Amino acid sequence: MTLLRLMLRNTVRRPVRLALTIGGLAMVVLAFGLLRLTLDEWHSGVKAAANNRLITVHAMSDSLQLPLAYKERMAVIPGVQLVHYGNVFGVEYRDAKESFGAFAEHMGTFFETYPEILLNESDRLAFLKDRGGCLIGWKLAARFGWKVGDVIPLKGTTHAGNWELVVRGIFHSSNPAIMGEGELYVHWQFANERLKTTAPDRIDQVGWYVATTAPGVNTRTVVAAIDATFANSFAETRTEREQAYIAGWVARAGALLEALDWLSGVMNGIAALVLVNALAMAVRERTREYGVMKTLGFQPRHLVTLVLGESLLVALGGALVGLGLLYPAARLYAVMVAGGKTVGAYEITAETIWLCLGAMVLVGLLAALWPAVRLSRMTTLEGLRHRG
Amino acid sequence: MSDAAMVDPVVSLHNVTKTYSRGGTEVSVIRELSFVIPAGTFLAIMGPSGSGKSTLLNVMAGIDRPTSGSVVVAGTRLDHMSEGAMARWRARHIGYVFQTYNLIPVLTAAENVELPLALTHLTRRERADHVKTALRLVGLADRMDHYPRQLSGGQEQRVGVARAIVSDPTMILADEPTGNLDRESADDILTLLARLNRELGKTIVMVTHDPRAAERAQMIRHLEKGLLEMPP
Repeated sequence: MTLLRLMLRNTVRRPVRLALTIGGLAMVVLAFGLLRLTLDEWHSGVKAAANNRLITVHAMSDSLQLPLAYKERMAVIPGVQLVHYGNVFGVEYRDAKESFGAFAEHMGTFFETYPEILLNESDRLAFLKDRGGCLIGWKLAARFGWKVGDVIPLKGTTHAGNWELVVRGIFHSSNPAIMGEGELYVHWQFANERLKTTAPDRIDQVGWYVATTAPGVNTRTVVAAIDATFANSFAETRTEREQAYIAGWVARAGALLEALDWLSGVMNGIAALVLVNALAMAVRERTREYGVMKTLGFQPRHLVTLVLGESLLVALGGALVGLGLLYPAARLYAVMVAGGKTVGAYEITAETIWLCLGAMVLVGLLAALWPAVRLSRMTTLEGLRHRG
Repeated sequence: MSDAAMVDPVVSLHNVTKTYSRGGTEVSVIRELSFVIPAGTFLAIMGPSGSGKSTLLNVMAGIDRPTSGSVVVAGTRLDHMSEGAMARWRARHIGYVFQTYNLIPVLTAAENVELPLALTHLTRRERADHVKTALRLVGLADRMDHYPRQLSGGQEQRVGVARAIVSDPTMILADEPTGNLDRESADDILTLLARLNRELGKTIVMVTHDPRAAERAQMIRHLEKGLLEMPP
């Protein structure tokens, strides 16, 4: 009990230094947490992907287009239940900074293909009726203050010209990792018609097909059958299950993800250095006290416990403050950095919390290592003769 | 001292030598010292600075090791013990009073006194009783919750004495216990030590360079250049 009291009092002995150390650690936890959120978002799509959706893109590159005519040929492949298609619909609001994910989708199959979309029936019908209307996720609506009935003036990037779209519905998503809530959807036909005047060479082209398979169907067979259908054509296809497609997309960004992972490690290293420095100063200042304690009969293990406990307390203090800051920061991050461009929800998971706490416990242990070794090796006499 | 020592020695040193290496040169601090201290003695060891008196005290406390010779204190030979074993032994047998008090500043007087009891198996209540008794003995029962910074030098040293006696050690070793105190506070501490020796029968070895402090002891020995002046 006395030792525990001493550990707690030692921890708060230098309030300014403690505050600065905890502040430093909290900043590292905050940055670490935001990095983890980013990494989680990249990976979340893989976990959340549907098993019965197959993505078909151009075999050479995702950015190349496929003919609309492929739809009919895909629909008759055994095992295929429904064929949906869409394109990127690049737009920006007032300037380039206010861009977001927007897609032109074939609305005849959209809601059936993506049951993740949660939208009330009257809005759905209103949207289906109005080919010049759009559907927006609630996060996008919240970001710009848009509501149903508003006319949104947008500047096209992939589809040139100015667009004035009427908001016909605001949706939620049952699975934000796949169907983001910060995005905008328009009728593919509407966007395609405009291309007739602005870019006639691009009409009737599709960025991707999504084939939904019937329950119990061997998707591997269907995948092979789709790609075989278009083999040796001028636009060969590459078909993958949705999960594999997203995983491949994540894998292509592997170097970046690896760099972010390394950055996470570096941050923990910085945190350890911050704590080592503070702890080393504290232990150096108290060396004589530790010598006195050894004179009274305390063993090296008692002193190591004191230092280790103090280190863990400070590290956990930093973790808690950092996690406390992470919640508002994550919300701000989702709006400012992600800006609804990706499908991510940027929500803090239990895994992220445990990872932050675990990382700080590790930092606490590592930071205490050197002072603990020093104290273990210190003789009583060396402690007593220390002049701080 | 010799007659009593034959009967009941608490400290027994035989041919103890302590040398330090300074700049490649061996310097002898204690030279082939042999003597015994009977139980219940209040001994003052005097000597000028650098005479080796603190080193001698540290050797008796198991804080320092002799270069050669044997040291037996409270029936235990110390010169071959490991650091950890010596710490355990010290917790049971030695109460140490420092010149600079060396209280832990973030603990109250009571908590400082309680510190050595953290190494015992006493219950919380028993520890509290021991602490109260020790602080009452040194006249600081009303200062239990004061932090060292709230105490005078004399009071701090009395807390230091209470900490030294709280675990009821075999022997109290005091290294210049009045060196940092004014005359009045020094007298209080010396009176306290004399009382502990007289009333509780504690063996006390006090190192001092102050003749007035040494006069309060039953016996005075002078250490000069590592050699102890023995009684005629």
